[in-house]
Amino acid sequence: MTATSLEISGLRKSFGGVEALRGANLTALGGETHALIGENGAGKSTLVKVLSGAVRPDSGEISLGGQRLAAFSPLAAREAGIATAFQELSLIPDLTVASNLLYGIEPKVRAGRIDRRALRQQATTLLEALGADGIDAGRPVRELSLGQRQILEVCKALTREPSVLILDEPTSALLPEQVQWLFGKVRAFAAAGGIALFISHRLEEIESLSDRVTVLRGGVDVGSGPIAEMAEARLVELMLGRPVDRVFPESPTEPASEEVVCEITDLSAPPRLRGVSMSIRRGEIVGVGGLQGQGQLALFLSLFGAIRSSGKVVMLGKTVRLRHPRAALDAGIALIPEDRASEGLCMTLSVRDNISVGSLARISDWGFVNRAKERKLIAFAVAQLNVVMRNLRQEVAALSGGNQQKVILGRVLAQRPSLLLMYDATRGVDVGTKAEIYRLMREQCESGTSILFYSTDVAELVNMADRVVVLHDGQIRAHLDGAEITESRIVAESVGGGASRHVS
Amino acid sequence: MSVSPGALTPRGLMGRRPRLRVGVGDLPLLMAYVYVAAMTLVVLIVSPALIDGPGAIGANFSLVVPLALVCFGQTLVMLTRGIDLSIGGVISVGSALLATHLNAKGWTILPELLAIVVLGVLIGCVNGLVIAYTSIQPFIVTLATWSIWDGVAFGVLPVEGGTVSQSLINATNGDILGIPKSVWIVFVLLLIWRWVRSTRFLDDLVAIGSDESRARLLGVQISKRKVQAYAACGLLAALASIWVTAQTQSGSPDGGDQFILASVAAVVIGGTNIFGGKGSAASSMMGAIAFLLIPILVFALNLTSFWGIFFQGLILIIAVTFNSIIQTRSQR
Repeated sequence: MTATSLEISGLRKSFGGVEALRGANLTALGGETHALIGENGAGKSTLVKVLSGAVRPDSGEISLGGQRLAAFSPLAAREAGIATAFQELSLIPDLTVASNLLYGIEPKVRAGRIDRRALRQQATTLLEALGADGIDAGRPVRELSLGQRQILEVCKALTREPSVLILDEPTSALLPEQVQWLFGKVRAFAAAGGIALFISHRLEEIESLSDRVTVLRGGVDVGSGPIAEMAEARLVELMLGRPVDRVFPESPTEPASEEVVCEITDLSAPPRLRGVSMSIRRGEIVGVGGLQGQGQLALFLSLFGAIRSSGKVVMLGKTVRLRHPRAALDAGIALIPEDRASEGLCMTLSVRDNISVGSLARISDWGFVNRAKERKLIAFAVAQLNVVMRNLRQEVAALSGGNQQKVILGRVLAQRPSLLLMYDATRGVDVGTKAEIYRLMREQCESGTSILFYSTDVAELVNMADRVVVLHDGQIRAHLDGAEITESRIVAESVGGGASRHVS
Repeated sequence: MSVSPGALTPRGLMGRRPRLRVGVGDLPLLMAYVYVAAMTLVVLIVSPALIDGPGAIGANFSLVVPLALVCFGQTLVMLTRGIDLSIGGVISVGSALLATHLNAKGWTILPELLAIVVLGVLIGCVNGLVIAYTSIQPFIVTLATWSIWDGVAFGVLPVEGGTVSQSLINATNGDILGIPKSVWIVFVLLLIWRWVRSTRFLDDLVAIGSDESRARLLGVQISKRKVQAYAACGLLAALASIWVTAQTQSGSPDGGDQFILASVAAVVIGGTNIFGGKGSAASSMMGAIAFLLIPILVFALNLTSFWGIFFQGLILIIAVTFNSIIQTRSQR
């Protein structure tokens, strides 16, 4: 199936008074990979949901090859030839890979029964043909890693043989070679005449993959054109609505102090973490790198007392027993977790409550919250962040992803930790918020806080960290310092070939 | 940086393979079989006549039939992360109608039974429509409809009694090919479950209960499936009502109430997740058998009958604890 063009015009959609789309337009032609970019809250996800039929627009129209789409439902979108790999994934954890992959197009036998064996065989064949045969078709999706799920989500969209393929941030959990696999699929799809709509935060991915780009800001398209004519600075300027000098702040000129804040000796949480030792100095930013799932999460959770571990941790000269997050917080260790929705925030509570909940002991008298102290605390936290919100009583669920992340930062900063743990805190966050988070990290360090952060974005490690440790299989494989911190060196140490083979 | 082609082998691309192929997450669904086997064994040792005495199997299974029917429906609803308390009302109103207005003789009983079944489906549809198209909790919706239909039952038949058609009583008793009809019914229910399990309908219920917003993105017709699930639950409750009324040979305006908690308990003992997405009607029916074996076990052990309720509560809490431990372990 091929369509000659996809035209979106005047799309509007509001959710409870908040306008997510305010007359967005987009035109893409067959055979092209079209990038859609914009900050968090610019309306990209809403546009994707409208296109895929999950959300009905208030007004506006969508045409495919000149044919206007009459109805907005997942079924109508599928019949029109639109398939989507969703950012939040449309996979059902309790169903098998095969059932998810072939949902709605299952091989049937008599009386409405699905032939499970044929289903599994067909799924295995399809996954093999797509080069994703490492995924076992018979397993429930619950058992797959995030990266595998993301790949399966893409495979599922491709299996529908669509004329329009929408990929909403498909690379966030993928390894470099998996990204290459994905790009190959998308290029082949476009070469066969399909329209690929690609949404990503990573500008370098957009530049390498797409032919044309449309920038959304505040629910409208603010610029569109061939990627070759759009310089990176121009794209960022369009996204933010103002020119940006640089994303990463200047490196500090003074060296970090020599005082060791946290001394970690032989920290283990088998099987994921196997004997990690390091020390973190006051005001220092230590980056943690390595391939996904090499024990980084276990390291952070152990330090936060969220999982059982052995070894010795000395904070400010005192040995601490990290048996519970409470103990970590008391010792001055705070964590910004990976999944803000499930681990970081109480989505139905207000911005105010989400910030003060981390410091209740400090702002309470006799077990009752002292509102005056609370106001002071919130003012302290909010002053450092530009959270875009109606007021402090607004539910955090109604905020955009970047702003939610800032609320977590606000809570954690209000706790005034000596050691701040940040686990992939900028994942899925737009450039503007990223820049703000980086600035905050620097400010915290200047005021004496130390930061240990893990990132899947190597550029972040290179630009932010004073030192980098690369984890492999639960152990530290490399300590990098100063000029040793380069992208190629970190990647080389991560994949384990050593410096000689991979530096090109 | 260059990527070596070797990195693109399946293992390299997809990461490591899992260690376990059969998920421990499925263990709860097997536990009811263990409970049933253990209790049956004890009863067979202590007081075998309660199980293999003349007519004992048929009598025991005639208690299992209505609970198994209701559990089947309750499982479908609970797979979607719902619950149906109104089955109590359906059974009561069916029973009241059968004991008063509907007591024809011979084959003419069939259209009247059909009317009861249709009523059950309609009640289920109303539940499903309200639940699918409003944001009201299934618990609250069906709590209300339970009360409403119990009220109607009291209007139809103010006190226990009435007369039940002899043809109906005869139809539910006796053997076919030397096996009690009650056993046949449970067997047929298991066959029906085998079929249902392999349909898209069931995948859809699992999808809805597993993650409703993802199911929507997947293209599952959520409202339609919810209505179907509650309608099926109403239908099965109506069938249970016919069986109970025929067996007790009288109508009862609140006879359905005892089935509400019993069905929820049996489904949970069977290992179905109350938070949706995971469950098996076969296991629920096993749970029903386990639940009903407890009073027999208590009797066999010569304990006073209050121990029956005590142990029913105890097995429920053990099952729930076990399920939740397995759940958290398998999700880690």
